[in-house]
Amino acid sequence: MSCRVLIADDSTTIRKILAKELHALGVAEVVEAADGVEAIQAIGAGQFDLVLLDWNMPKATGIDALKSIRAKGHKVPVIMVTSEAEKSRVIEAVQAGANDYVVKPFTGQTLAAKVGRFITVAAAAS
Amino acid sequence: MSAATADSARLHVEYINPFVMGVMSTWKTMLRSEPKRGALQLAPEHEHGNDTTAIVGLSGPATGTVALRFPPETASAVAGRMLDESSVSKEAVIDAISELVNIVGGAAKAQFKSNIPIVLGLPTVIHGAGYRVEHRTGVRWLAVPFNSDLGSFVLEVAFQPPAGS
Repeated sequence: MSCRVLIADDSTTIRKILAKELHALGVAEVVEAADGVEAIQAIGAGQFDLVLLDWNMPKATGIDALKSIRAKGHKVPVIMVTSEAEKSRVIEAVQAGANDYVVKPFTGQTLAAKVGRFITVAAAAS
Repeated sequence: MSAATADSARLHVEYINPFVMGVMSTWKTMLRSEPKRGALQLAPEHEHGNDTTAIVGLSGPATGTVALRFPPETASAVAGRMLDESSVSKEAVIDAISELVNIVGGAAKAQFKSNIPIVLGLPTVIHGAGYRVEHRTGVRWLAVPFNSDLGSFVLEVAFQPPAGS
């Protein structure tokens, strides 16, 4: 599957876990960002089919990164993958332009279900 | 037990339970492990030996600190299971336990039903002996020991809940 996915999380552990899950789902290319600023730069510089975005990161939070990319007109689907579990946080993220939300801790099945629909659409369009 | 002590004990249980539940769900989901908890106690003031402790601060309508304290062998086993790798570097262990305390703190704070979200900080890891993180509010550290197939560890919490909760 020729999908290209950006993982933005300050934890190398979570980036490794997510990358492994994405490759198992057939995603061809995974790009990693370790903070919100790197995420904004990566999205500005390249074409992605999906972004998995943590909330609490150094330099710029995930929600600030999300607001920034939406303000610049980037329409790439974004799934927040975060330990921020309050309903108010989910609402805030959706209002800022998140397409879906995964709360940590997550299972591989939960992630596959959330990610699957976006990469299927991307694969069909390519 | 006096009425005041009993009330205090009830409060402690009430406020530590979301953190305990956070540990249980995180271990089950991320580590395929079901730890058994021990009794709630005041965290000892003595030195921690060569333990590795991941801590994260909570601020906003509630303030406090959550810590997960691991003997070295448990920390390595936990990181290895999380990454599905038989051997992990020191850096990988630090990162893995940082993320675990972050997830536990996030899971717990969501259960306090505060109108304004409690803010989770970025985790920090401390190695070695002879430290104790103190709160300027003087809040006591509570501890819950756990045992699991990955080894023993301790959840420590110093927490002032949101007003009215």
